Order: sequence, then C-alpha cells, then structure tokens
Amino acid sequence: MAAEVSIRNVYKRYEAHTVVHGVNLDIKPGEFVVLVGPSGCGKSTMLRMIAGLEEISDGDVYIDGVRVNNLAPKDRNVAMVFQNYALYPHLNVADNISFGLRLNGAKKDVVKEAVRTASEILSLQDLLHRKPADLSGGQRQRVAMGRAIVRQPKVFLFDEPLSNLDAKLRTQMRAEIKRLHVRLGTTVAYVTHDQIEAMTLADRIVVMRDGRIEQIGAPMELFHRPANTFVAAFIGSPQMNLLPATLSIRDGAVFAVLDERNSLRLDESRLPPLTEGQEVIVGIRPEHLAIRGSDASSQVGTTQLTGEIDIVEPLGAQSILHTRLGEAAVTVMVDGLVRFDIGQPISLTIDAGHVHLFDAETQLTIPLKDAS
Amino acid sequence: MRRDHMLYLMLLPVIVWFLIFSYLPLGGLQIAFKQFSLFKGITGSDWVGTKHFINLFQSDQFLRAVKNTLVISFYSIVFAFPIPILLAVMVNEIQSQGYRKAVQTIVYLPHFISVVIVAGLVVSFLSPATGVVNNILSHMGVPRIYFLTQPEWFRSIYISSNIWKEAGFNSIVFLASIMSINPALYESAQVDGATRWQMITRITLPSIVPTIAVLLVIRLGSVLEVGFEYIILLYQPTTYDTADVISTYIYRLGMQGARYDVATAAGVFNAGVALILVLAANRLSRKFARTGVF
Repeated sequence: MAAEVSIRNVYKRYEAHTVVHGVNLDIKPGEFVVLVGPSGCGKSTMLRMIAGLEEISDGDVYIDGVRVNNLAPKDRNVAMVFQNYALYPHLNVADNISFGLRLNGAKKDVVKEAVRTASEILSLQDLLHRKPADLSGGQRQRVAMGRAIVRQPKVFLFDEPLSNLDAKLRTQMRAEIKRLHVRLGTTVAYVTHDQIEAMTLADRIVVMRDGRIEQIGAPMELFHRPANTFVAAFIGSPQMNLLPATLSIRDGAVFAVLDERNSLRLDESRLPPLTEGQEVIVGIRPEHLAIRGSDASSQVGTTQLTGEIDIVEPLGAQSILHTRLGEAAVTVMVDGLVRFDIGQPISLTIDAGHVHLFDAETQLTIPLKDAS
Repeated sequence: MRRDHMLYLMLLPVIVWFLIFSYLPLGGLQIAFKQFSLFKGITGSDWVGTKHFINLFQSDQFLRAVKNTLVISFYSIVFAFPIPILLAVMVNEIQSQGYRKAVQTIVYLPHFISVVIVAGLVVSFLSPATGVVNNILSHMGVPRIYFLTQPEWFRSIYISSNIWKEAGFNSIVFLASIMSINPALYESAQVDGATRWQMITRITLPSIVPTIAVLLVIRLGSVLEVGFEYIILLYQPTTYDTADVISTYIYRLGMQGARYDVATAAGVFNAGVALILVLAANRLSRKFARTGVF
C-alpha cells in the first residue's frame, strides 16, 4: 500500500522569485520523513507540490514510479492533513470523515464501514454526530486524520498538523501520529518547524533553508553529525552553542582560542590536518558542558572555561543557564536540583570528544573522527 | 461606562437622531385610532377605535394593494434574492484578477444610478414608438407592445429591472462571505477529488448559509415594503391592478387624499405584519441555520 516518492531537481518559482531551488529527495515506501526548517524555507511548498496543490516550475515528482507533475491531486493517491484541520463546519464528524468517499460515489455500506474503522482507530466513535465547532483542537485534528485514513492513500502528507495545539496536546497527538504510522505503515511526508516533533517522529529528517536542503539524515545522525552550523543550531534543544575561535597549535596540541581567558583543548586524535590561525566555529551542545564549582582551579575533563551566569531558567529536572564567557553567550544544561544565582562566577568543563568544529568561512562541518 | 465614556459620547448623536426621527413620531400613530382633524391636532382629535382598520379591510383597493405587495415581494424573493448569490459564486470562480475586477465594476455600477434615471431608462427602452425592445420586436414581426400600460407586464418589468440594478451590489455581501471561507477547505476537497461544481455545492453554498439566512430574515421582514419610489415612477392608473402596493396606496390616500388617519391605519397594519414576519423568520433561521439577526 505504501508508495515511494521521488523528487527530482524540483524548482518552484513565483514570477522572478524562486522559493525552492532544485530539491532532490527520495522517500522510501513506508518511511516517515519530516521536512523541517524555519518559516519560509519552502517545506510546505514542497509538500503542496507533492500533493498537486502547487504547480511544479521545474523538475519532476514521482509517486510509485509514476511522474505526477501533470496529475490532478485526486489522481496521485495522496491524502493531506492541514494545519488548520480544514474540516467542513456544516458537516458532522462522520460526514467530514467520509467526505472524500462520498464525493467519489462510494456505496453507503462502504462509507459506513470506513467511518467505523477510522473512528475506532482514532477513538472518535462517540463524536461522530458532533459538528467541528463542538470539538476540541485535538479532536478536530483526529477527525482530519480520519478523513485522510478512509481514503487509504499511498502517501500521507501532513502540513504542520500540530502547530495549532497546546504543548500538552501536541505531545499526545505526536504519539498518536507515530502509533498511526506504525499501524498503517503508509509513507508519510510531514512538515513542521518544530525540531522536537521532527526528532521524535521521523525515520529521516530533511532540514531545509531558503528553498534548499541543508541535510538529510536520521534524527540522531543530524544531532551528532550536523553538516553545517545551520543544522547544528536547528537540531537540538536548547540549541548548540556556536562559538567563534582561532586555532592555535602548541607543541602538537591544538587549541581553539575563544578569547583571552578561554581556550579549548581539542582532541588531536580526532582532528584532520588544520592550520595555525585558522578561523573556526566551535560547536558545543548545552548538555555536554558541565559545571565545576566557582572555586575550581584545576582542569577536570579536558578543558575548563570560565565565565558568569546571566540568566537561570529552571525547568524542573534540569535548569538552563545562560552564561557569558567573555564576549560569547553560552547556554548550559544542568541538574535542576542545584541552585544557581545570577552573576555567580562559574567554570565550565567539556569533554573534547563532544566538541564540533565548523569552518568559519563556509560554515560547513570540519569532519572529526568519532571519539574512541 | 466610565472607561468607555468617549464611545458613549460618540453614540449620542445617533441615539438623539433615532429618538427624534424614529421614536418621537411613533406618538403620531394614535391618529390611526382617531378621526383626525388638522384643526384639532393629533391629541385633540376624537377617538374612533378600529373604525379605520375595518374600513380598510372592507376596501377593495386596500386588499388589492396588500395582494400586490405580497405577490411582488414573493416574486422578488423567488427571483431576485437568489441571483446575487449566484452572481457572487460566479464572480468567485473567475480566475483572472483583471477580468474579475472588470465584471465586478460592471455589475456594481447600476446600483449607483438613481431610480429616477432607471425608471427613465425603462420607459425609454420600452417605449412603444421608439423603444429598443419594441424596435427589436417589430423587426421580428411581433406587434409593438404597450408594456407600461398593460398590468400583466408590470411585475416582470419591475422585478427584472430591479435585478439589473441591485443584483451586483447585493452580491457584495455574499462575495465577502465566500471570500472568508477557509481556502484549505477547497484544497482538501481538491485532494479528495472534488470537481469545481462539487466544491460550489458542497463547500461554498453550505458555508454561506448563515449569511443567506440572515439576509433572508431581513428580506422577509421587509416583505411589505416594496420599492415605493420606483413603483410611483413606473405605474399609472391602468396598471394599478398589479402595480398598486401598500406604500403607494398609503401615499395616495395620505398625501393626495389628505386621509391621514386611514393612511396611518394602513401603515400600522403594515408595520405590525412586518414585525410578525421578522420574528417568525428569525426563529426559522435560528432553527435551521443556527444563526439569526437577534
């Protein structure tokens, strides 16, 4: 039932303005691919081109090996779930779910059975006679998914389906979408600007910026091996600290000099050939920084950085510290039980095995060997 | 109250206007139950109870006017009310922005023409000697028709020329209502395989039902008020049989015949029936369309 989706060198132009620049992407049958990126990056346009709601300016889209550029949306065997649910306000839940089937002249018993099955899957049995206005946001989103399910499409397209929901409901619905995918095994292309949604749902994530793909990969691959500073900053919450530095090589030891007081000893065994004075960006995830007491004077781990706390954001189990290391702002994720005060001097330690390096000019990652 | 005092202050002229021109004159309605004399004044005239109402209902002319009003209103609702809806749907379907704007301008323009000019145009077009309609008929071998002197033509002429004048402008409300429909509903239907026609019948029209219902309520409330000036301009004694409506009857009785008391009685009857119709229509709208004016 699941289909392969191939996107070949696809462009989208609005008169002189190009919003998608030659995108290539293969989605395997049954795969859950999340297109993620900031607003205006072209991710929704991509989805709409797959659905047939936007004309493709250049390039080809194939579904199950069939070129669909000129096929009407209904002939592509896709179903789409919209951000604002797109439920028909004058129809009740059952009629909303069965709308597509009835349009295509499905028999009454087929419609009834399809509605029954979908409502069971989505726990909508008790709501079938209600109008959308009488439903909560989560229930409406489930109805929208029900409408997609009954058509038994080869590809599900989700366009930011959870962005109108509150945080708690979003978490619940995320799990429901994941369960639904496991149960149905249909190919899914899912658009979101929320990297947590992308990380938790995706088999593979496609990070987009300004109409181009920045990186494609499994969630943990993107997290551990971001291709550039954009992906590094986009994936992970709180986002990775990106600190400009200059390389200094002394007696075979390589240091990333952040400022006069702070330099970071890099793990030479992981480094490719680098040059003295090379401008780089050091990437450190907030959770990979650890706090030594303010009185710490000796290095623990490989490197110690000193600064002071700017803001404390307690989250419960953890706290986010916004610290200042010289000119640089550095975010640190720490144990929530430990008390910190604004203005408190701190020493941060980092294991060199968790440091990422990027070329300051190209913003591309400088590949490091995995830490042994 | 204290916080919004500027708003209340701005509202004051409107309230004063309503008091002076709408509520204060209500006191004059008492002459419907009096033998009104200009010399005795409204309060000084003698009470006669429901005499004028009884006389009205025994008058063939009044009953004819009531019947004509209802018939013209009924035909207006049946023929003139749906046309702006269809027009709005059709304009909404036009893809080319330039063409769409041109169509809208053309159909809105007649609204801004005075009824006097419209009546003049109608008289001119339908003139038996020089009118374009009769010229065409004549060319086709059909004898010239005296449209405006024959009662059987009056309602058709009145309603069709009214449609020409107002359908475009009245479509604005429906078009605005259509424009407010969530575009995702159409996209979703498109993915589901709906044709343009199915989108109109299953999305557009059901989505504007509340607007249609509210406007229908308002229209039903004014079922006894047909275009007074326009009828005065078009009708003549030979077409009274189909053209004379309550408002023109009141005008003739009150202004030309100086029978202010009887004319007021006819007006009170008119207003009473209109109130009942508005309440009934609003109730129906609430029941079937889940919306109402109040």
